[in-house]
This record gives sequence, structure tokens and C-alpha cells, in this order.
Amino acid sequence: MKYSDFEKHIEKKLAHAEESVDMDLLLDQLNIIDRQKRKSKPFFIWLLIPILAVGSVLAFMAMNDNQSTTDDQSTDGYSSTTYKVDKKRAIETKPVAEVYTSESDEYIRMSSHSTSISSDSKLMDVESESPQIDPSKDAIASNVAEPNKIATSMNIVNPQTSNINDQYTLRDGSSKIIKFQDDINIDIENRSNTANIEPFAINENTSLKNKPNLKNTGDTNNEISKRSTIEWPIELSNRSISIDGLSENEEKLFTRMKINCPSFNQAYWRLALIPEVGVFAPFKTLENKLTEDTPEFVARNTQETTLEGLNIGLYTMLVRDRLPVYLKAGISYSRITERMNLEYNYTVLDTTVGVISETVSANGDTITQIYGDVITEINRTGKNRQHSYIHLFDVPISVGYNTYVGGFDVGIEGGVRVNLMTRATGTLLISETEFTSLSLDRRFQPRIGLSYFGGLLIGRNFGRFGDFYLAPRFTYFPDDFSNEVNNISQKYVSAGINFGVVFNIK
Amino acid sequence: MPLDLEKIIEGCKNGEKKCQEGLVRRYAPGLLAICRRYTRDTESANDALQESFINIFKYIDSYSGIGSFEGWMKRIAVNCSISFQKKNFKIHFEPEVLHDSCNHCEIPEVYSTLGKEDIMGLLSELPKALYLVFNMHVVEGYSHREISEILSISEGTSRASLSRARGRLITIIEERRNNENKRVSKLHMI
Repeated sequence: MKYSDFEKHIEKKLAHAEESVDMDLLLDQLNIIDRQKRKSKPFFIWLLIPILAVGSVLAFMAMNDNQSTTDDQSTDGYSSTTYKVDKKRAIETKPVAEVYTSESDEYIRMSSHSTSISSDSKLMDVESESPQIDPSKDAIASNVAEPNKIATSMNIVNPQTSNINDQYTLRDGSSKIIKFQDDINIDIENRSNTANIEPFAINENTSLKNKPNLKNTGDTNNEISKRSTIEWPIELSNRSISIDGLSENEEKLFTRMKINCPSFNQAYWRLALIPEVGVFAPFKTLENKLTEDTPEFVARNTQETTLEGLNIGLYTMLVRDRLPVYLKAGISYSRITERMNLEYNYTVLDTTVGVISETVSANGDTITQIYGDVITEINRTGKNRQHSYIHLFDVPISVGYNTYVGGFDVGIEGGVRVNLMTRATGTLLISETEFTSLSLDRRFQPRIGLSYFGGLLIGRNFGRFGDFYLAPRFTYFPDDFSNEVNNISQKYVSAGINFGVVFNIK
Repeated sequence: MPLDLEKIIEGCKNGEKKCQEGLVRRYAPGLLAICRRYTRDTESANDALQESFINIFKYIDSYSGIGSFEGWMKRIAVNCSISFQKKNFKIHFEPEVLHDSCNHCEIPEVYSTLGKEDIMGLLSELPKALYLVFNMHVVEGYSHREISEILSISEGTSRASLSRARGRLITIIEERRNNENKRVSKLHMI
């Protein structure tokens, strides 16, 4: 057999060979590897997780605070009906009519007359043991917790009615209008086509201790009570409601009724926490403090490049409701990076002692050598790349004004940045070719004083995810970063963009 | 019902576990054999196979559909196996000195009946660098240019290594034959 045939035999035997594989083990290992790879995520991912967790908790607390505001206003010592309603909605649903009786310690918060409350479905969740009408859409159920208290549950049909005349649709399709006659009288007018009930009124002298004896031409008491969703076996032992036209015998029900419309003009301070990250482009100005340009100044001026800066900050923002201005303060860290691409080319004179002259005598038997300085020129060229970093720890304080334009929060802000500490690290060129370590050789100020910044702010609300904003920002550092050791003055202005998330705390 | 290759590839690109499993089940035995030829021991071969599949899933989006998918996977397996080889020991290639290969040399007929394990045993006697080039060229079918790219050597070095591997293989076979002859003659003497 020829060798070439042997190679073909090898190829034939090996090329398509297969090995038995423990598939389950392999598949399991591949999954394990995936898991391990997922674990080895960059550090900042792990940093992000607790930040997001804390942010979520704060946001949840803030939202929960808004949603479960308990309106517990008490007036003149009377207990109020409590219900849970979104704070925002509560503000929108002004005014709420508060009806209470002085004798019975009852306090009934009935309904809103504003347009906003009836436009949306807003069920006020009230503890109730009283007869309940199904709280369908566009319904407001308002019940008193104790069994012997008045409970009303009714659909508001016409949201545009005034404080004086409110129309309610009952479950059977009939509608009633309650007229508020001055402070103490309520007229209920039945507009049902089928019920044919005459308008009736509630006044302070009408008692509902027993079933009201409805005085109507068409229907009996029972029929009316069936049709209306107000189920009448209500124990009203301690109160009296006077209903004109329903029962003249039942009087002294309400001794006093008062509609108290609380003011919603009260403004609150809000506090928010804002983590922020940003990048900026620093623009450096170098000035020589000496009268003559030094080689390092020329080299730095021509070959040193300022790289992009990084900024992170944590701020608290104080804002008052309905005021378009806010106050923001916090702590901020910034880093400025300088890169020196030094390309050097210089000549070094090297002096050694050597034979500079050799003389041979005429007959050739004597050689005279004269020693002296031998000067050699050495041309040195090379490249050296070094970085220096300036770290700034500041307390920025700013005020801003923002407004709502086309779904976006647009604003301007400006403020002052109080420098707490400045640190320089890395290496800095101090001669034609020599670098020094800034950690050991201090050549920058430990503090640079005040700097000023200003910019725009464009934000948007993403519902429960909170408010996000982008802020193009300009910063001016008036002071020199260099100290007295450093012969080159170094000043900056910067322009950058920051991204922030607003978590409402309170 | 086995999935066809195109669906498997598409599913793997979408990260579907079922398709990934189908791919592993279909090609793992062949790829393990490749890894085994390069790493020579089972444990390293399994590790190389695992690494190969991780890379296959990772870079499957880069497979454009041009060329054989098996060839693409084979290339990954070869690269992973060679990486494992390099981790464990240095592969040293001799300078480019071409040796006369003996394509027309006569090999005993008994070698035409060698099985897979016997052939692997024979090839294992080659130095690692020579074996690597021999395996890539003769068994896997890579050209010298491809070998030079994979191993980061020159084409000339690849050719020289192959030539030396062939010569060495023939020498091994001759030595075996001589040893066998001596053993037979000893037996005859007895």
C-alpha cells in the first residue's frame, strides 16, 4: 500500500468519526455556564441594583402616600366620614359638601359638585353597614360607618349641577334632585316617569325614625321604597331629617345642617431625591505665570488634550405645589482627565575623557597622546503618553424654574457649586521630558472655591416610573486650579449633559 | 420529530432552548471527536466541546448562511481545542525546512485495516506540533493558508511541519515493522 493511500485511509476513518457524549451532562453544563456568565456582569450592574431597589422603595412610598391619603378633617368636634381617595383626585374633586348634624355627632361628606369628580369613575371606599346601592361606574358611595348613621349611595348623573340642585339617578332608573335650601333644607325631587312622585324636601324638622310616610299621589310608601335604592329601615334615632312632601309627621330629623366646603388651596412642600449622571466637555485654558514660555508650557499647550469629564451627583429638591420654581442641593463628584501625548526629540551632549590628539615622533619611536574631553551628541526621540486627573467634590446649590409644555417639563436652572475638595492624581509634565506624580507632588489647589453653572432642563413623566430629565449644563470655574508651585495657570469652563431621575419622597 | 437545520439555526439565533438542545444533540458527537483529536484526552476534549457550543450560541448571529454550517461549527471547535492546547503547553514549530515526504513509500498492507483507535495510537507518537498540522491538513482538510491563519504561523512552516510529520510517520511505521520483524525472528530462533 502506498503512503498516500494510507493517508486517505486515516482521513476516512477519522474525519467523520463520532464520540459518545453524555448529553444530559453537557446540556446541564451549558446551562450552568450560561448562569455563570450571567453572574459575571460588570460591577456597575451590581451597583445599579441596590440603587434601583432603594429608588423603587422610595417611589413606592411616595406613591402610596399619595394614593392612601386619609382625609380626616374634623370640624367643631364632629367626626368626619373617612374614605380613601387619591390625593390628586381629592384636589380635583373639590368642593366636597360636608353635611353634619350637631346633635347627632354625625358628619356626612356627601358628594362633589365639581365637574371633575363626576367625569371619571371615582369610588370612594367607605366602611358601610348601611343599605348600599350598587356602586357602578360614575357612582359615588358615601356611607357612614356606624349602623345608625345616615348612608347614601347614589349615582351622579349630571355633574354640572350647582351646589344648590344636585340630581341623582337611583337604581331603578329614576332620578332625584336634592335641593339645598339655604343651610338646613334639602329638597328631593323625584323625576321618575314611572314613580310620578311630587317633589319633596328634607328639612330639619323631619324625622326618619321609622319608615317615612311618603306622601305621594301615585305610589305607596312600599313601592317608593322599592323603587328608590334608599332602603329606609334606617335607624335614625338621634337625628331628624325633615322631608317636605314625604312625611310631615317625621320632623326634627335634622336640627342643623351645614354645608362646609373645605378649601383646597392649601399648598404643600414636596421633597424629591434625584440621582444624576452626566458627561461634560471641559475646555481648558493654560497661561504661563512666568514671563518666558517654558518648554513644558509649550508642550502642554500644544500636545495635552482634555478628555471628556464625568459627573455623578445626588440631589434633594424642594418644591412647593403650584409654584414653578424649585430649590435643589446635593453633592456632586466630577472628574476631569488630561492626556499628554508627548513626542520628544532632543539632543544630549555626552562628555567623556579620551584621546583627543596623538603625535608620532619623527623617527617613529615615540607616540604622544593627549587626553581631553570628548563631546558626543546623542539625539533622543520618543513618545510618552501620560494622564492626569482632577477630582472635584462639590455641593451644588441651584434654583430652577420649570413649566409644562407639550407633555414635557421644560425649565431653566442655575446655581453655584461650592467646592469641598479637589484632588489631582496621575502624572503631569514638568519639564521638556519629565513627568511628576501628582499624588506626591501637589501642583493643584486643595479647593477651588466657587464655580457657577446654569442650563436647561427637559423632563418627562413616565407614570409610575417617575420623572426623568436631561439637563444640558454650562459650568464656569473662575478660579485657577494650579497652586503656587505650578507655573502654569489652569482654568476651565465646561459644557455637558446630565441625566436625572426624580423620586418624590414627600 | 427532528427539526431541520434551518429551523434549528433560526431558533438558536432567537435563543430558543429547544433548538439549542437540538443542535447540541445533533452535532455534539462529531464535534467531540474533533476536540478529542486535538486535545488527546477526554477531559480537555469535553471542556473544549463545552466552550465550542458556548461560542457557537454566542456568535451564531454572525453565521450568514454562506458556506457549510457544519464547517463553521467545526472551525469553532478546532479553534477552541487549539486554545486549550495552547493553555496547557507551548506548541513549538520548527523553522521552515522542507523534508522529502515519501508519498510513494510503501506501507505494510496491514495498516489499511487499522481502526480509529489504532490510528490515533499511531498518530499520538508524532510530536504535538507536527501532529497538529498533520491532523488539520490530512483529517480536517484545511489548506496551508487556513492552517497558517489558525495557528498564526507562516504557510511555509505549515508545509514544512506537514512534510516532517509525514516523514516521521513513515519512520515510526518502519520502526514498528523492524521491531515486529525482530520479534518474529526471535520467535523463529526459539
